[in-house]
Amino acid sequence: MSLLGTKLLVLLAVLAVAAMVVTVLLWPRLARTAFWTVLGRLGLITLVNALVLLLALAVVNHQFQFFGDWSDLIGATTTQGTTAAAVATVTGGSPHKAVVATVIPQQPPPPPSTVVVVAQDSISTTYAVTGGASKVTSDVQVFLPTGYSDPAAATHRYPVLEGFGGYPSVVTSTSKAYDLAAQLGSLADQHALAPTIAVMAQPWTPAGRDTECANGPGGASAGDQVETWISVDIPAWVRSTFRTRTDRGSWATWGPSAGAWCAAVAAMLHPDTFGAFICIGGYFRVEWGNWQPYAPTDVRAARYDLVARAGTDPPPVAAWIYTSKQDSQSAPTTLPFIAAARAPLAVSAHVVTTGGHRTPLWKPWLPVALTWLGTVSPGFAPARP
Amino acid sequence: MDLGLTSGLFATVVVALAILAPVLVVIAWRRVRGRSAALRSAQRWALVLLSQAVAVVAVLVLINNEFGLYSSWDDLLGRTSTASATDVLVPPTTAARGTHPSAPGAATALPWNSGVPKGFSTYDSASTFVAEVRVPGTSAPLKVYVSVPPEYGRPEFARVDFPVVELFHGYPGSPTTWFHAMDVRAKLADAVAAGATPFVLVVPQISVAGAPDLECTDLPGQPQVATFLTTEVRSVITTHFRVRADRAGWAAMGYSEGGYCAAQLVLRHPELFAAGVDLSGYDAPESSAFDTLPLLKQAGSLATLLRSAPAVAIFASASRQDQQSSGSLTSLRRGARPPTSVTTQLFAQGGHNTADWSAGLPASFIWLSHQIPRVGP
Repeated sequence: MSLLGTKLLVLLAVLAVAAMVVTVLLWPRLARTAFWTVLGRLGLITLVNALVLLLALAVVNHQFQFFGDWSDLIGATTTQGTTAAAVATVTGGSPHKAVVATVIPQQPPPPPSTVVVVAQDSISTTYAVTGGASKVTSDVQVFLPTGYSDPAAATHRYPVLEGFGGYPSVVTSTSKAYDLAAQLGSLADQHALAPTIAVMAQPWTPAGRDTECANGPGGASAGDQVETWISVDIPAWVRSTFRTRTDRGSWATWGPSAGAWCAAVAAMLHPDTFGAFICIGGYFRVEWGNWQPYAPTDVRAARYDLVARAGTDPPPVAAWIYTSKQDSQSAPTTLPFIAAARAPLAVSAHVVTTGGHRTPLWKPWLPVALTWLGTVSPGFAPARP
Repeated sequence: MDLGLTSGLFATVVVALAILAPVLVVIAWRRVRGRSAALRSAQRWALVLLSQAVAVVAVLVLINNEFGLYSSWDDLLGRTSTASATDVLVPPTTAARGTHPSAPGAATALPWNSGVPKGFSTYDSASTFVAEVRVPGTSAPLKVYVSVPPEYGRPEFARVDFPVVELFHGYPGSPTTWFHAMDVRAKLADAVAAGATPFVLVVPQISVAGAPDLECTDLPGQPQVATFLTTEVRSVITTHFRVRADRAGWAAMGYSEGGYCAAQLVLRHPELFAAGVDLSGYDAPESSAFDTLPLLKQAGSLATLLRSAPAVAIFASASRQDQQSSGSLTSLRRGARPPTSVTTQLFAQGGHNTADWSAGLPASFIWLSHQIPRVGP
């Protein structure tokens, strides 16, 4: 049974009410003050409590779409991997690219990905994509802009916005919560942003694992190369499947919360592919959860300290960042990142004093961030009306 | 006793209540009073539901503490104002660029309430000032104009240090060109309405009457214009205005010779500036004052200055029809290496004139806002 469907809600509601009725009916029989009867009464009350709680949690999940099915929930609540026993030494490093302005040589294309269509609705198609280089399989939801299929647009190529949801979430949660397709369409109509292909990629794979959009030490055979999947395989698949522009000024990432972290990882570690990223309520140092691929002192995990990278080896990308000083999940690493960032990393930071970590606070800022993208990233610049 | 929404004490209290609630229900069951069985039954139902509610609240509090959804009672009860003192932007409900009530001369403009800084007098508006500032190496002072944005006078910005853009005019020319032909104050207001940083604008005079064209450089025996533009001007501005003193809060922008000035001063002084905008500038000094100083001339070329790879960002624009400036864009791009960041924009049309440069100012301010972001205290 799906964790998101109404069937589960109805079932739990029926069980809770039944338990309450049973409690009230059985109560007189447990009226004597003896050990077993007291235990019995406490047990009945606790049973009712538990069922009502489960119902409440199911309603919350239905609203926020954290877990899609049992494997998501089980995956999220179990440990996914222990730390590696030995600390690996770093052999070599990436050669320092001679970066001039916004031109960076692109890496050679990866092997092709394989794809299966999972779902389709009136505005999007969801695919299960097995990455050619990473061998990771996960879901990708694609929105094509209005007019994509018009004969007049047959030679038009579009910029791409790759997005990631928070953890935990299913691939469709974020686009629904933010009305993503409607926002992009509205901004295109107002000539604030070019018509854009939106791609939501699901990095929490296998189900429920908090991968932190990182590559584990095991290589493609271990199936834990999520950074490669989101930054290399998915862009290559999107480029080869849809009519997209290929320059880095036409590719950007975005996301809320853990999705913002993923957006930063993809853009900052792959500036040859992405020119800009949008972080809403995100963080800038990896936060391992139920998957611990590296020992705490492993130097390979230093790759995922973006605060350090912003200061010592800043990539030539533009960042739009939103955080609240009261957001304990975001502010502790976002404020240092903003302070550390230096050219050629360009940061447009929006720091508010109050407010917690949730979508209703973030949603109104998405059009602001997208308008910024239209001004700073050449491929997203709107055509003059 | 801190009973904040996210405090440990509150969580402990709520969890304790949730554990005790079933026990209390059991104890209270027999003790309900009431004449009719229906009344007693209703009271028992109320007890059961109450213990449910307490348990659910306890779980929600634990979830909130884990994920930080609501950071305080005010946040939960919706008592926070989105226009708080350090807020950067009140998110607009649409992405439309509206009119800006803060344009100079607008009837609804907020009054300037910080008074005229000492040594300054007002120029042509209540928020634009002028003073004469000493120039090393000569007795004649040069004028420095300062324009503050409407945000500068608002109470919620009373403790904010504003970032600065130092603006350089062309040669021959005058700093007041920035306010009239370039209409920089209105262009900045347009950009701020689109989300740009509200900069304080500092417009010094760069040419000395009676001296040759010094191209913003310290030449032996001449007025020391470079020192004036970097040290004297900065000292006066940081003393008399509520502005940032660090390099991350200062940028420079100029047109024509002012564009060369902005680029060369920013590249030379990464400890003073974070970014520069070069509108139709050129590559190297050309004035006859450098004829007898070939080494200084070469040292002043942008290509030479780029070799030391300063950590600054440069934005340069030119029109294809302006061969000298468009050639400069190419050499800027070629010479840049990390951590210097160079962004260039070549216009197909347009000329070497204030109308075209003025039209490009909002975009320049928006680019500058990405280098010097708008952050509250």
